[in-house]
Amino acid sequence: MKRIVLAALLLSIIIFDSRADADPTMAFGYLTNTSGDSNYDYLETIFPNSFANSLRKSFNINVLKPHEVNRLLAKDDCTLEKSYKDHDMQRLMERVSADFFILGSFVTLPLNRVQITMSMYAKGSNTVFTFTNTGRMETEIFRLVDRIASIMVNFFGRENLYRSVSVRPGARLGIITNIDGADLNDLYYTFMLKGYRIAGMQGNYLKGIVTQDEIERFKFVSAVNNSFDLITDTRTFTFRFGPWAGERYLDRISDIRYVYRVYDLEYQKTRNDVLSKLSARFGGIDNLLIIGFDRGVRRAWVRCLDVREKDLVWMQSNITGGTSGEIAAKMIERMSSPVEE
Amino acid sequence: MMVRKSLRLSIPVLALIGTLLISCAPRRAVRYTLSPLPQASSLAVIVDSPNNIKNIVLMQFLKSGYRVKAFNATDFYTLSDVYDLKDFKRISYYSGSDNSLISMEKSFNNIYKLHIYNFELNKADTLDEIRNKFNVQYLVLLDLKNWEQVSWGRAIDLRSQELVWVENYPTKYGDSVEKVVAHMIDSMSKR
Repeated sequence: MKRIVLAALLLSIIIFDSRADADPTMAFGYLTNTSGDSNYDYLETIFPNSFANSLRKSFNINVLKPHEVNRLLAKDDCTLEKSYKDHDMQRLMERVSADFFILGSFVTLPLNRVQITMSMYAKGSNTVFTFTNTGRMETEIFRLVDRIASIMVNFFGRENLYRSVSVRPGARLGIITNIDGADLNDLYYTFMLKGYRIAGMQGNYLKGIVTQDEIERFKFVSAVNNSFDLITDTRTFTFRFGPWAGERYLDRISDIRYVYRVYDLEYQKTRNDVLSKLSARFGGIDNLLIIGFDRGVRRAWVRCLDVREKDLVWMQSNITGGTSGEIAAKMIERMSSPVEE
Repeated sequence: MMVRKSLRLSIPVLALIGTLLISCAPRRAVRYTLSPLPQASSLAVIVDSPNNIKNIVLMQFLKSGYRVKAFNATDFYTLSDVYDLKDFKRISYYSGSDNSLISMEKSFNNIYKLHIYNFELNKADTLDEIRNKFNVQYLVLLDLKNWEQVSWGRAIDLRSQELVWVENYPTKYGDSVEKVVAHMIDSMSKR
């Protein structure tokens, strides 16, 4: 919870508060060529430099391009690597005094297309936002760069917005939220009025069981292409063995390993199995909407999963309104609008 | 000068009154029927009220021609269906160093999320059992509230597990249980 608040503060206040003493620093790493064709290696720095220029135009920020990051790291006899583990990023940001760090990779695809994957880190947040976007290499490369820069601008904006598809009326929605009773009815009503079909999950019970604190856990979505997730530092796990390790100790270690494997390392698989069952049980769900409201039901955030693709397709924060219905109306306006191709 | 002073005083007072009015404003009445519940269809009615009130509610449904199934429990879960996450968390916290706990945060969150997903699956299984054993087509949930509060109702078609009717009804002065339930029945039985 504290980390989420910290991330929100970093994202929304540091960037936009003109009274801040110093503009935040956004550092860029390489966009690693993972296609195996060295002819495209030149794009490894061209892409991040282009994104850096676009973001500098949109925000009052200091930008560190890959060669500048490299120069700063050289003071510690280090060089900028082409890729890092998520848990290494906080240390890297400290070394170059960056508030944000952005890096990624690209792979060339058939029909002269390129797929770019970007990962964005905020200092002190212990979170990573990753997204994937695909475009044509030559004819649309500048459009692709603009599109990706626009995604970054939106994510760093007040609403922390990301959207990859449009969810139009007629879609069948499963909704998980922390409101119940008349508030939940108002939310359902607004979606139904606009033509969305609502699966009877959660609404089939008189009282909600998800509290405001607990819904915060759903803010993190781990998926194949687009994720907003907590970072696990695997180095903190130490399983010590010795002559003193009895059967009970080994059992406990085994349990921790199991929990860690199933609910962290392989969580996507575990979760996807459950989502498939959930969809089948409720007659086929197109999208799972997870909506977290504040205590006064005046502000909400949303995460939208495509249940078939098992991917995060929409996330947004700071959606405000006088009632759950008003907030739902704003959500519908956003979710049903076209996404830039 | 006096005018300015009184204006200065009245602004916070008006703001306070405005805030109070907004916070006390009754929730709006809403109603949507995707498909009406035909008379004579079989229902399971869930209402969290004392038995005497529950009888009045069920009587209204019977009078309206619905086949009300003898499913009168207010809670259809057994303890074995409910996974006590708090206990598990306590056990987890007990077994590890501080660093490990931070690293396990993602696992804790994910376990909770799966718990909620599985809870929904368990409920769907239970509703399927209800549908098959009691031959129930619709699940109707009602929450009856006093004057100045919002009574609400919801119906789910158990064949499709889809929400087919919702209504928020701000309870009026002088409304009786019979009157509110009659209103709800009328609402769910027509478009």
